[in-house]
Amino acid sequence: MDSFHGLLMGFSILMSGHNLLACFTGVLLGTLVGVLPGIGPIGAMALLIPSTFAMGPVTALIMLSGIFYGSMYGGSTTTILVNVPGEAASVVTAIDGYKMARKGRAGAALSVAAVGSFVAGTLGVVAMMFFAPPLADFALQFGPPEFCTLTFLGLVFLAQLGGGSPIKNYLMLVLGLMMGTVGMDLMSGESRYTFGQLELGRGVDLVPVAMGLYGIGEVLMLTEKVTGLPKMIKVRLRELFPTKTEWRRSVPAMFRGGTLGFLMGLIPGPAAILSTFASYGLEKKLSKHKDEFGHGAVEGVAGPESANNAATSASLVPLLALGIPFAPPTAILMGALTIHGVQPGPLLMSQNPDIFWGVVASMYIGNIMLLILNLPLVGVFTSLLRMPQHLLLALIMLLCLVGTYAVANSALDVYILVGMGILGYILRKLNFAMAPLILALVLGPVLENTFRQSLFMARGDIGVIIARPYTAIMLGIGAAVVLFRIVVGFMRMRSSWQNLPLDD
Amino acid sequence: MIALRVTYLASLLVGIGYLIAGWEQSLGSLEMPGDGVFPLLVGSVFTLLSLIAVLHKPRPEEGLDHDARVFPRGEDLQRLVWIILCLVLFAALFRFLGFHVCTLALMIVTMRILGPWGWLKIIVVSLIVVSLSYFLFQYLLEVPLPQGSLWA
Repeated sequence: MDSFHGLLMGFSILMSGHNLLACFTGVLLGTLVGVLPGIGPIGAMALLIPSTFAMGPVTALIMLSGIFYGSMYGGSTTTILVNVPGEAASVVTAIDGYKMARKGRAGAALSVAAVGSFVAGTLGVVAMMFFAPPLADFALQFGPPEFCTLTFLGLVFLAQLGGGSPIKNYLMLVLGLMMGTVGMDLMSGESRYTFGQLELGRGVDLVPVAMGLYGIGEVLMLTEKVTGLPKMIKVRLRELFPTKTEWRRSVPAMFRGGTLGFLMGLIPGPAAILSTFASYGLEKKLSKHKDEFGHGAVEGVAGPESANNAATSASLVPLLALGIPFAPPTAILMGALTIHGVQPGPLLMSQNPDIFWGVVASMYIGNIMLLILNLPLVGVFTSLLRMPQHLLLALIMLLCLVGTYAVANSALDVYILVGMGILGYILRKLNFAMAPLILALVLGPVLENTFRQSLFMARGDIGVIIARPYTAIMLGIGAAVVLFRIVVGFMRMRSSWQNLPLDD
Repeated sequence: MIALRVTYLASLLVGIGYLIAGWEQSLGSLEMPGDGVFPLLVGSVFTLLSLIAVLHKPRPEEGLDHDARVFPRGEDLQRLVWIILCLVLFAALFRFLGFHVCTLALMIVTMRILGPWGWLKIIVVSLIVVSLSYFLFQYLLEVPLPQGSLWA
């Protein structure tokens, strides 16, 4: 189906049934979640999966993806007004955004962030529309060996490029794979690692793990400091508009950030977060006002905020076109699709075009809704920040506990929730990344099944598998990335030895 | 840093335990890989990585000062431990005492630990919240939450 007709279909789907309401609910919750500390888009999406049981897959996806891209808008609000990033993807915005607010330009910062998010988000959806269908068509040639290699490559990229120590990332990744093996094996019907417990036959479910690591874990981190009400900078409506100069400087930054964000969003990893850092660096390098950076340079807000929104749209491409999520939020979306009986993969677009085009159409409208929610209505959300933190944390814990139990009425899920919450807290303090674990948990079964199917298809001949063109290319890229990192590390070690005697 | 070393040791034990627990699984053949193949691969890699992690010298990392104490101390630690205890007790008791009783207790205790409010305010707010959630989940969303085997 070509893009034009697809989009028309998408809009007609959006206007029918509860889809428009689902879109609004999603983006509203996303903004809320972005503004409030203690819960992020991943936790919120996991929490809301059970409430989508009564909906169809299209409606569910529209709402959940709304939370995802909506949270990228909300995060900037808290960051600019209170200097506390509501979202990891808004950390960079704090550098110049808060400074702008201190100088009385809070309204301008908020506008630039919101408009940039809108422009980049919308352009991201356009790009998604043109990128995804050809990619899906291309991937129709893929068989189990290609999917196995692609999944493997994605996980390797995540561990290598995700920042932090590779060995920690790999440990989390393989732990996720191990957790994914628990339960009844789909191919043979045998139960693994269930120790005779019936409930473990379901395996370790994504929702309690995600809510534990990102929800309870985050709450535990916040218990460390007892904060009073945050000191917030007040913004009046008429102060919302940036000056002509500020616009002139922001608009190119928005386009640059959007492009960079989209490209980075296609790669596995915490794309949204990394793209903000990359965009900030780029803007600083290109700017004629370099010394302003760190003291309220408007490009330092426009670029990163646009980048994270474009990255969000881009990260949906691998999920919808290939069926492989490359980032934790899209892993949750994949979980939701599976629960609703939809098989993710390149066939999704041809077999369930309503899902793809429905989501695309909802993102256009969603971005418009978000622009309205985040500019004129920003006061509503900031007043929520006045909620006492202890009440907020207690509520989040309550929601996590109820939400987890509601998935399958399983006490085991609650145990997993609490256990992962504590584990998540400890691991975060020690600088381990959560994303590899979540992605590996979701992708582990895919990796294993495609691996076994490949061997079965090739009758045990591994050479045949590796000799397939796409598989060989992907394995080559993976090997190159790993080798590159090792070589760079080695060279860095050598140069640090050589630097030692040079004391002048 | 000690905490990190302990974690790596723990992961080594987890890896070994995983491999031992999966010992009975069949490996099948190369044409028809059994259930045990993937766990064996994954478990071995994990154990090997853990071993490397235990033995290697950690490089200086951003955001983690290897000499500093990572976990909170004193009052902050006390708060954290209390909250964790509450969560663990919740998980242990909710089927016995019922979901709503436990969430009420959890809310009251955690708000008292984390915030400055007095008992009366906390109890009133918690009652309101739990009543709302009872209404929302039991009636509106029709999610069956355990009523507590003690009361049955």
